[in-house]
Parts: sequence; structure tokens; C-alpha cells
Amino acid sequence: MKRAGAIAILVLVAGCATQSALKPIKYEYADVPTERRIEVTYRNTTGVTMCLLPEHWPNQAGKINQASDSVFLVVGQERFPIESFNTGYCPQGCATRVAPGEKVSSSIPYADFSLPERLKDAPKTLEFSPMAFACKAK
Amino acid sequence: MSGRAVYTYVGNDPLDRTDPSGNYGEGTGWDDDSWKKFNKVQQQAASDMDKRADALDKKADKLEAKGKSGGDTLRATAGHLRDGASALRSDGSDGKLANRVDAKTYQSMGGSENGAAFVKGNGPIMTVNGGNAAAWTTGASMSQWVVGHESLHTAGLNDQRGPNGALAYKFGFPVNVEAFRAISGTDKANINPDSIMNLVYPWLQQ
Repeated sequence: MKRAGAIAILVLVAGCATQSALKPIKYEYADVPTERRIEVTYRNTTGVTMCLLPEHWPNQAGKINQASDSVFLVVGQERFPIESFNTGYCPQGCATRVAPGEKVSSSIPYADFSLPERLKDAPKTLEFSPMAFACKAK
Repeated sequence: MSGRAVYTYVGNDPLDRTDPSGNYGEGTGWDDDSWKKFNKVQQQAASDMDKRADALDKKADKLEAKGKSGGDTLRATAGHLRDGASALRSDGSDGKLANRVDAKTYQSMGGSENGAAFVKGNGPIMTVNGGNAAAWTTGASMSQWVVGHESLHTAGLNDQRGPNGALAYKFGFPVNVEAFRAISGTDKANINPDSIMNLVYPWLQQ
């Protein structure tokens, strides 16, 4: 599958961000079979800094905090949950901050979905509905 | 390793890796000072968790003596606390180890930036972010909370989500605190690590 052709845009309700309330966000994902990964990208089109919690966005290692019941890679009739991973305790809170107009990308390896090699080149759908909240810039 | 033999603490037997003091076995990445501090934290957390478990069992006894319900839930919670304390007290021979890594390694392993520690899945290894001093200087009780929380993951529990979609933590962002408060008194609180740690250190505030 060519990367350009694999780009899918999820149109979710962007909504106005309210301080401290989680809201669904609009993001894009792309399948990169040659590198066996799914790339997700969020561009902050709101006028305020947005915070993405570890349970709502993959970190730099591609891990999402305890999301095996909410994030799936779907290939045909098969549905693969993301691995159950605990990204750890943050006494002061953990979040990826995205300034207005900026974007953030991260990749989830196929391996984290335990995707069989036979399905590497098959069309894929990512079931993932992240949310974010307005927060202060660092 | 500040000049000492790397495996002195485990009797120069890195394959056995037994911690003679009877706590999470000393894994890799520690020096004498950092291990001494961490070990003190986990010993205290284990002791506090066991004391709370005993208190919950006594409360369950009283409820049952009066013919009231609720004892089973209290005993289950006590069991979770003892399982967590047991993980903290593991001698390492069962593979329960605490490894200390720098911040870059911590993140490359999947830990969150600004994180203090994580247990992968519900596994036996606690990975401590030695590069995040701020996470470990928030007070002894907060550190005990963190290791106690992580030990409950080793004991098989997972963080629960609140109705707002955030994981329920007593500390952190308002959305997490909101989730923590929202599940209070529900079945989710009976298996949520932070809710259980709040029984041990209810006075601890952000």
C-alpha cells in the first residue's frame, strides 16, 4: 500500500476547547507498511495550547497508556488491540503539549498490535478516538 | 557504579539476584546512595500497605459480626494491598526487580516524559526514572505512593478510566483528578491503584 494512498483523515468533532475538559480532537493517521508502523498526527488548530494525555496519545516510543480496550487496528474482519502498556506514574501529570498552529506526530509499531506479518500490506483502519484539553503552555 | 562491585548487593550472583533485605530485588542502574533511598521508600510503602490491609480486615470482621454486607469488598482490597506489598518485599528470586535508568532510556522504553516509574503490563519489573529528580523530591510519602501504585500493577491491577475518559489519578491534571473523584465509591475504585493507595495515604494532597 502506498503511503499517500493510505492516509485517512478522521473527522471528529473538534469543538471549542474548554479549560480542563477533555474534548475529541481531529487527527490523521497513515499506514507505513515498509516500516511496519502507523503514524498519527495532530495539528492544533485551536487558539490555545492543547494537552494530550498519555492515555490519549502515543508517546515517542509509540506507547499509549493502558489503552488496549480503546485502540485497535482493524484489518478485514480481524481486530487487533494495542498492547496493554503502562507508561508510568507522573506525580505532576504527564501530557504532550501542542502550541497553537503546531503539530505533533508519533508512530505505533505494528508489533504493538501483534499484527501478523501476512497482513503487513493489507488495508488497515485505526480505531482510535483521542481527546485533549486546553492547558497552559510550559 | 561509584566504584563498587556491580553485583555486591546480590551476593555477586547476578543470575540469582536475591536481595537479602527482602525487598524488590536490586536490578541494574543503582549506586549505593540511590538504592538506599529507594529501598527505604519501598520498605516503608510495603509496611504502610500491610497495616492498612490489616485494618481493612478488622473492619470486615466487625461488619460480618454485625451481619452487615461489605466485608467481602474490604477483604478483596486488603488482598490487593498485600499483593502489592509482597511485590515490594520480593527477594528478587521470583524475578521482581527494580531497575533504574536515565531519562532518555526511560522514554525509549515507553515511559512518559516527566514520569517517575512504570511497570510494563502487569509484569515483575519496576523501571525507575533516575533522570527525573523532580519526580522523586516531592516528599517521602509521595514517593511511597508512586512505588505502592506501581506495585499494584505488578499485583495485576490496572488504572481505571473515569466517565470523562481520563485515567483516574489523585495527582496530576484536573481531568485525571476529576476522573479519580468520579469513580470514588464505585466498583472501579475497588480495583483502581490510586483509589487503593488513597486508603493508605488519605491525607496526602497535591
